[in-house]
Amino acid sequence: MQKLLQILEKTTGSEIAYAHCDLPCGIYDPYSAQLAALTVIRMMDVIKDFSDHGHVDAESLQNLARAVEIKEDHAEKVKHELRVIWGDYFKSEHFEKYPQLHGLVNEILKLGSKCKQTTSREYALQMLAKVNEFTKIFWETKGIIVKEVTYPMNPKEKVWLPEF
Amino acid sequence: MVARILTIVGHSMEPTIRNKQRVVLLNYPFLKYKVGHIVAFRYKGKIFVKRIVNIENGLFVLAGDNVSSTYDSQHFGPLSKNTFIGRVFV
Repeated sequence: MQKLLQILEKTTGSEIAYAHCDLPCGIYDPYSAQLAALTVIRMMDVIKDFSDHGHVDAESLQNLARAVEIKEDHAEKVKHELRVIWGDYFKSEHFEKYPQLHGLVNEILKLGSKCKQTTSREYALQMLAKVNEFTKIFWETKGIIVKEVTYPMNPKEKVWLPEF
Repeated sequence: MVARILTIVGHSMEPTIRNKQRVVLLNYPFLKYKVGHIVAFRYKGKIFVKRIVNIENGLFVLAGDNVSSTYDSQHFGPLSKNTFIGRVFV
C-alpha cells in the first residue's frame, strides 16, 4: 500500500498533514521536567548501588540495564520538556525580563547530555537545581507563587512547586 | 469525489499511522462521519489528522491514538464538521 501511494504521489503530489502536538493548547507545565530530573537522580543512585554491591547475576544485570535506560530516557525527557516550553511558551517580553533564560536553558540541555553520558549524581543534582530555577521563572510569568518542598519519595530532593 | 494523498508528520496517531506515512484522504458529497473514523481537518491554516472518539451535540471530539503524545479535543475543544476536509484511509 505504501509503495503504491509513493508511486501515485510522484504524479499527483501530496500534502502535509500534522499528527503532532503543536496545536496551541496553551497548557505548559515544567513539572514533567522536574519529575524527570528527580528520576535521573534516583537512577544514578540505583546504578551506584549495583556497582557498590558488585551484583553480577543475570537478574541484577538486567535491572542495571533497565536503570541505565530509564536514566537516559528521563534525561532526554528533561531536555524535551524544556525545549518545548522555551520554544513555544516563552515570548520576547519574557526574554527581556529574564535575560538569563537562554543561558539557563542551554545549561540544562548540556547537563541533560552529561547525565546521559555519565553516572555522576552531581550533574543530576545540578540539572534539578537548574530546572527548579527555570520552574520558578515560568510560574512567575503567570503571577503564581512557588514554594520549595522536599519531594517525599527517593531521592527526596528539593523541588519548587506552584501554590495554586 | 476528491481523493488526495497526505503525508503524515508526527507521532500522535501511532501505531495506526506512523510518522511520514502516506495515507489517502477521501471526500465526497454527503460523506458521513462516525465515531472511530479518522478525519483530516483544518486548524489555523494547517491540516491535522485525528480520530473521532465522540460526538456531542453535533460537535466532534477528536483524539490521537497515541495517548502519550497527543494534544486533542481535551485541549482545543470539540470541532464542527465544517473544519473537516475528509476521511483518512490507511
